[in-house]
Amino acid sequence: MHGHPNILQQNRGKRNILILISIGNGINFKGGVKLIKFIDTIKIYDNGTRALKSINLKIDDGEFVFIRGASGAGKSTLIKLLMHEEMPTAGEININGYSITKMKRRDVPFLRRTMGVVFQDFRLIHNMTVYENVAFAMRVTGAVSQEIRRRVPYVLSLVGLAKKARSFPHELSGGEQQRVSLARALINNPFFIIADEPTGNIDPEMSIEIMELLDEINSRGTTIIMVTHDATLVERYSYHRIITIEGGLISEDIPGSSI
Amino acid sequence: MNKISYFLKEGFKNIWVNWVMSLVTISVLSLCLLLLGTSLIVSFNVKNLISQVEGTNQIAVFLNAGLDQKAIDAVGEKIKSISNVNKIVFISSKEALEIQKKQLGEYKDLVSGLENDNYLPNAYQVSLKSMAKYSDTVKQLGSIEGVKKTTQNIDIANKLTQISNVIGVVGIWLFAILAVVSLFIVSNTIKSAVYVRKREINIMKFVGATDGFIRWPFVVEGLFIGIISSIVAVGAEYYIYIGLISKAFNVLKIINPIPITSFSGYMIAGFLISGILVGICGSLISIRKYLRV
Repeated sequence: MHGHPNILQQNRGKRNILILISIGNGINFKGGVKLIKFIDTIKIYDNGTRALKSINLKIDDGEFVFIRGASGAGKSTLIKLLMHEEMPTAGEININGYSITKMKRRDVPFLRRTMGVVFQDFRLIHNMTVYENVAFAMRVTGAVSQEIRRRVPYVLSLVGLAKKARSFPHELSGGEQQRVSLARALINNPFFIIADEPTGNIDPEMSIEIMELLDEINSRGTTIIMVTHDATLVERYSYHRIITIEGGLISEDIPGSSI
Repeated sequence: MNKISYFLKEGFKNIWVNWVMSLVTISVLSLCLLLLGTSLIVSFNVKNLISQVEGTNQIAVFLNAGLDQKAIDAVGEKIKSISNVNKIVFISSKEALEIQKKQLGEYKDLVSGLENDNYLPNAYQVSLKSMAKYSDTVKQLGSIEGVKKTTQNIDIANKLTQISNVIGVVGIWLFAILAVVSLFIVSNTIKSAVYVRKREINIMKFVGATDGFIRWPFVVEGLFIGIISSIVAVGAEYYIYIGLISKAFNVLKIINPIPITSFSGYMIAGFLISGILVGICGSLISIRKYLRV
């Protein structure tokens, strides 16, 4: 395993290009203000578990938010609600002016295209190469081959994996696999990125690398919601907003210091 | 275009990756089609036989002696008015005698004295439209005033009609059962293909694939299974019909088998359509559940 110390330098050089592409490719979900809002959101599972007890939360466009809490505090539920995997029992969730609760089933895929998701377990397809894994997420949205061939190598170079395009996931380190899934999350130019314990399966050194990448992506205007219980990591990047969840409620909300 | 080629490629891949299941499914589906096709073809052959018999099927209606020409014509009109009657021919007692003489050949002297004292009755030769109503028609003919008696070969008629009905009923049941069986097997095969790719489907869902996009490769898989099965079934049906059924009928002599070329177009179309329908329905049934994420 070896790091990629020059990723960020490479990336900074391409910042302007990315911004341009973002404007060209942006999916305008409903125009207006881009933000995520939880209004008195309650989630009780069928088995009686009260995962969320009245969540009120507003995340603005361009924010970097840590969501931390012990396991079972309701972090995963929060993310599942955002992804429309679960529906709130009561209350409302609003993404860019679009109500999750009133959304039609056939509109859900289009909501999901406005977000990029990164999981702790990477969720890559084993029998596809790095390139194919990323291209796959783009093909699913109906993009034409020409567009895919142009954009995938670009995004791979953004996460420093241009040379690994032909490798299979099992040939990569954990950190590299997570960068592939980050590339996949970025490929459709999302409004925001949900990272669910992205560093959970990666050694600390590589974790910093992933964090730096997320920071970089955020500095270009993409909202990032990162769920983690890694206290040292949160400490190190404490200039971001930190929300703590305890027993299904928000117990602490420390605003970010920079930006 | 881009999407279609992707769906085709993925559909083929599913069949290939799951080749054991695919092979089993294709075998069962083509066997089902084959049984169905064979029962239909046998039933067509029997129907054909019945219509051949119907074509030559005639009832002799003998008239009472001493009717004048007017009364004879009146009976003829009444026979014609029966809906199942196709054609009637009047045979006078003189003509009947001539026919007898001809049949007797060199022994015609036996009836030579009868010219002046002809005991043979006047008769109508009646051909029917449908064998199915044979016995009703015979009853109707018998009840006409002036009719002495009718010849009957009702047994053959009834038996043929029965056979054709039984084959029809058996065919329908066979079809229903086989359709359900093949649907079940096809949907199970696709289900296992879906299961193998469950992870992939889950990933597709969270990167924003529509249900249709996820569904298509599996529909293509079902479609190909259907097409391949029907091709196999057509080939086997040719072999079975020409090699076995036709030979058996030829040995029996009484039945002239319908030449396969006269219905092969319908057969191929029927196999293809039912194969494709079963394939597609099977795949739609099996993926419905997995799309609810």
